[in-house]
Amino acid sequence: MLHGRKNEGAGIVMSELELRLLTDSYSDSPSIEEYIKAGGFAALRKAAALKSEDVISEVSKAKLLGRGGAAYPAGKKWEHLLHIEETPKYIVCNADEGEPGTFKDRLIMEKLPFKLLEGIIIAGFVFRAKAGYIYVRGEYRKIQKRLVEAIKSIHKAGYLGADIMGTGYDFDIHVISGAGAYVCGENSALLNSTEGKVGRPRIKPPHLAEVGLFLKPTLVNNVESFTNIPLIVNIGGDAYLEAGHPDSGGTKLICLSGHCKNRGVFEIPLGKVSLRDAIYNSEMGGGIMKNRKLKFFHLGGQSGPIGSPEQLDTIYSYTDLRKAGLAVGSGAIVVMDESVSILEYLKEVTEFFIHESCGKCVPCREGNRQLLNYLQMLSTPGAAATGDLNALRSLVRAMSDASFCGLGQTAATALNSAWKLFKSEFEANVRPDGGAL
Amino acid sequence: VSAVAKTCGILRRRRRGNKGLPTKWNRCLTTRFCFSRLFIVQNAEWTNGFVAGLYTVLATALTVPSMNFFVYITVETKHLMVYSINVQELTEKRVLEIMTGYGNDPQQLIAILLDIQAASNRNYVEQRWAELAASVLNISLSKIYDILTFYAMFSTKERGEFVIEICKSAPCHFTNVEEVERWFEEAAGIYIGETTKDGRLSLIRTSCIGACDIGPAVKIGENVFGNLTEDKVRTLVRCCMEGKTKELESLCQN
Repeated sequence: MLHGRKNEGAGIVMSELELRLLTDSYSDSPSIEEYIKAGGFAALRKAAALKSEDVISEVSKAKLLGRGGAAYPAGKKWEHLLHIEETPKYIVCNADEGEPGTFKDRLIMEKLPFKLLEGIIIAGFVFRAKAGYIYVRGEYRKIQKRLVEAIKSIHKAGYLGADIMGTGYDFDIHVISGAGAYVCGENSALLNSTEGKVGRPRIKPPHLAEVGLFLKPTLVNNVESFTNIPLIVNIGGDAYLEAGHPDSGGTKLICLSGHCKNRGVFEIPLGKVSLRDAIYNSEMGGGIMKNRKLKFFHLGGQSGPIGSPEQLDTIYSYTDLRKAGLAVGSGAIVVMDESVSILEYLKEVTEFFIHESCGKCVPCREGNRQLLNYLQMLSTPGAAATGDLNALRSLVRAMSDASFCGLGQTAATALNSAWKLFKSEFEANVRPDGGAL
Repeated sequence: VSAVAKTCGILRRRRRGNKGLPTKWNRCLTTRFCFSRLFIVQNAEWTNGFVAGLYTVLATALTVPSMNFFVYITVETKHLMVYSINVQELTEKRVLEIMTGYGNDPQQLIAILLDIQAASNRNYVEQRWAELAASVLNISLSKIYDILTFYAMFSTKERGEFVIEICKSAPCHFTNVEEVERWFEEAAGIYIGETTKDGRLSLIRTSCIGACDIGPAVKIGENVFGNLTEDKVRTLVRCCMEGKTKELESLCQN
């Protein structure tokens, strides 16, 4: 287990199921001297000497899927940007970790800031980008300050600034603060916010690789994705792929929260650990608190699907989870015990989306309010009729089809998956059509 | 009167002050108290000159809007002194400094407004500062209010010096957050969404603060506190009420 916080129960050892590639050496007070001593910036030196195409082919070979939640192949994204001739290009790191149940980026920025920054600098070299930006959510104000300090010390060590390592290439990284908007985790909204505007998403196409930050070609990747880059450059794409699943290489940081005994961040190889191991292994989740039974788990954040105990033997990988109707998403695993009512849980999820909807499009802004109305009716005896259930289903479909951005499109994912698993709870209070109130 | 001797308190004037008046001088002077009007009941031991001096000093102090000050009264020597303390009202100069610090760059608007809010001492962005920013950065006021009302971390209304933000997202919510909210309400004597009368403390709900591993969790300023128990909640509220920022720092878990 990786400890995200001080004052946490010490003495929890690493599970044999874990694989520490990304987090092999981490420290509560990271310093650049230690980082360089441990082989830091070797990947940067290696990448700077390579051709851009070669670095990208390693990333493609590694089959690194975007770690922010969308699981878009990083290699594809990088290739796309490389073939765009317009300059200047920008590198943006998405550190707007607003997804409830997710705190892995916080851990990376607190304990492995130099690895993350090295990844961004490598991307800078590959695209000969003009500048890099890290958009950190406003709630992580302390981390923003630490990153600024880390950037300063990299400047001193000569890996940032003018003429990096005598290559004649100038690059700098700026830390940008968010101000409390979940929708800014959406890449185009994030770019708007970085420009000092309101963080409402843009219409796509054009793709951000073509028209991104300041309307220039831009690469946007998640914190964890960038942190994987030095590792891939160091060990090579093939070795990275081997560590994970044939369809998606490497490891994934998972965040266990809710009612499991050990809550925290764990690094597991993709395709080698089952959900049961993640939640029940004594060195990982450790089972359910107060020895209660597991009722359901919510994967990948609020916009991810809900799974039932019958799905526990699914292997944690992008492919296997998708086959089972589940998803990796951001890596969040929110574990809920039998005391939680599924309708109450979904109400919380929906209230979250009502609060976080940017209000730009009707399906999301009004749809979520109506979802909450329906959920309230369903939890009141006799308030909803069978017809309401059908109306709810078509509302869910309308939202996922017609919403402007990913927030609205996926807001009802949890409800949709829970519907199949807990049909009886949904229908418990429903009266037949035409029945008296 | 001897009980009043050598006591100190912080008097604060508020534009919308509360109507309650201190019944006893020592209470007035030993606690932080907000008032809009002050009646001084003359005590037999107080000379006319002393009371007149008290009036003059307080009248002068109260003309400065939102100023915080200490009043020291030494009855034996009939000395009365007013010290302004470092919690200053945000000035135009400071706001301009903040903007210059960001090179008056409109792209840095969010960071500028966050800094103005943090410097306001009441966790909000006043309209006059929004207007000032609009003219200096050459953007429309409506664009600034677009930002201020869009992002959850901003407030356009006065809030407490300390804002306790209770995480209400699902992972925290189902780890006993309802009880935690009740503890906070009881300890602070206000409901969620309210600010205490002395302007010290506000209680609000927030979306996920990235502390799901130690939920139920709250954020006060930059500090995060988790695994909350009733005792811990009381301590946090006490620290805020008494302005003990250092103690808060030492308790935080981030």
